[in-house]
Amino acid sequence: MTRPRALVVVAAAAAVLTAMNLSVWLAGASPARVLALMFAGTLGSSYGFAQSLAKATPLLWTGAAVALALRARLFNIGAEGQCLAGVLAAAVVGAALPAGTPSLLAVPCCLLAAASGGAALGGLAGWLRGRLGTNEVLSTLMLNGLMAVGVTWLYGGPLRDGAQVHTRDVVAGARLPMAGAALRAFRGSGLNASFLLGLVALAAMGWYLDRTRGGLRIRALGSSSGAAAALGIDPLRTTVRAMALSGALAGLAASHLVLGVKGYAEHGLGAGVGFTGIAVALLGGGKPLGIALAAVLFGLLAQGSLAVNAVVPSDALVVVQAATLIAVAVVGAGRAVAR
Amino acid sequence: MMALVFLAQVLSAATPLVLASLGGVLSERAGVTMLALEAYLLLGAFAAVTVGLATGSVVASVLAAALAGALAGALFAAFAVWQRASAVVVGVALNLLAVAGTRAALKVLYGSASNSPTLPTSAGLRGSSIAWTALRDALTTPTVWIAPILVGLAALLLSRTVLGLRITACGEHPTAARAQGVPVARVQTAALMLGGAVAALGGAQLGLHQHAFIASMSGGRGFLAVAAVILGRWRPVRAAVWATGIGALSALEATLASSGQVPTVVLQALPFALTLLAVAGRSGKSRAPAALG
Repeated sequence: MTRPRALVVVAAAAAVLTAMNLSVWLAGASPARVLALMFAGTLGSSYGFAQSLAKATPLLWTGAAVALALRARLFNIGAEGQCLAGVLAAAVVGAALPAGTPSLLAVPCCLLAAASGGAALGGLAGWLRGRLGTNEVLSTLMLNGLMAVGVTWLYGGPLRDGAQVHTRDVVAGARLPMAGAALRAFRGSGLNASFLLGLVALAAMGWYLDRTRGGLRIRALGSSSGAAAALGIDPLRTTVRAMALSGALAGLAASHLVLGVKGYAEHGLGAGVGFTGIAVALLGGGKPLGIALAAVLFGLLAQGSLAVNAVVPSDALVVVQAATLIAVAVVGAGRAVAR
Repeated sequence: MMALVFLAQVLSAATPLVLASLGGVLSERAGVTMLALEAYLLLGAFAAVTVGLATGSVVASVLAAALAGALAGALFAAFAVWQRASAVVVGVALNLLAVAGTRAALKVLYGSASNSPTLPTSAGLRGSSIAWTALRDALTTPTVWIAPILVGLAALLLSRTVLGLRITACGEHPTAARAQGVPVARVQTAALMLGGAVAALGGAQLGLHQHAFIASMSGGRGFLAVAAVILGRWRPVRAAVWATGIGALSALEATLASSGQVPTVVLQALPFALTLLAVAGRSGKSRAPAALG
């Protein structure tokens, strides 16, 4: 089915803007004033800009995660739970390291832990899909529920740090450099090295999918033709690999959340990041550059919604995100990436 | 007495799951993947409580929930059927929309983003013992009675009526159905609206049982209902049996949690873990509607 794409994109953008203005208006504020406040809070200052990029950082990771699985035609709804697993693993390993561990050792250890945590959860869903034929949408939804219940209990109970309702701080060496330390203008913002790592990971993902044998196998699995069979691909191994890699990327969102901003894990850290990643992956068309731009757009929206928090309830942001998601799905109808 | 309290809790806990999974069966039998059951539950609960607070009538509450669900189903159809957007994405988006939308509306209507005022309870009915009160509370909620009736009606609808056979035809082989002169998009829209209305009645049960709307009160039940649809192999009665089983597990959670013998986290995780195991264990045996997408 072909459709006049430009027209549909314009219609989708108009629908999102209408939804935004409608929710602003329903919340009892003037759209013009809200937009002015949003601009001042994001692009209007170097701090706001850095904060927007900070909000975009976990979405780079989860957007990449969802996009990678989609290339194998696997719908990873579980980036949410895989991110929570990465946060848990990074926080536990980071706090268990000896106090004086140098950065060169501590950071890779924690990144590996975060990736492994996410990969374990994603790989499990991949194995269930490849071995038993369990729908990955359903298994990852259940795993999301399990992780949410599990970490809430862990952070409030066994891993609780005394009177604080969060885990012990990770060692100083495990923290990623903050942008504010290098650039005075960004001081006080949550922007850290995870943003750059995320961009590198996106580029690496694009290279892996398009230029390597492993990536070819993943793409073959996702093509509806007999390509996978013709190439002699083992569907079980390739499904597990695609889901494990996807989970690892989602888990690495912890590099921003734990190693960058917080230094510990707590209830609610990373919540919603996985679901928004679906919107980022679809809006970005599954391509690295597109995902990066989509993540930054959502980061600007998130920071902007904080800037207008006094006038508009922050839930309006989620309404806009959902509207964007639907608009992108409508525009992408018929294209493989949105399936 | 324990048994009576438990029975009451099973009835209250299973009803939302049964109705939501029935809504899922109706939608998916028409060939549309339905992940928005969480959204239907929330919207149904919200509509039931707001209308209940405004009118004081339980009948109006239930009708409002069904209407809200049918409208949400129509919205789903507008995107997923008429615009051919991915049903998975539309489902995820509607879930996000319902969580945030109801919370924002709660703030606007009642000045709190966490819960609504409570519905008046029938204080005159309070009995002498807690067990009888719990059972009576469960049995006087109309949705508890509506659920099994609708399950029976839906089973008859799908197997014995023209509309039901058309719905199944759309889910199994839309091209052949279209060649036979079945208006596929319209039949799917009807199935989605019907499914939305039924699932939202499950939300009405949540709201009427809690006597209030609480933000995100569906708490993942919509996802458990999706699992019940698959475990029940897209048949109304079988899906209802699985939904009741999962509901009984939640009721067990409530009973055991109050006894304090089993850690709460185990009980909270149990429905998700057992559902995952059940779905994985039965994957090979289930056959989805052929054109589900």
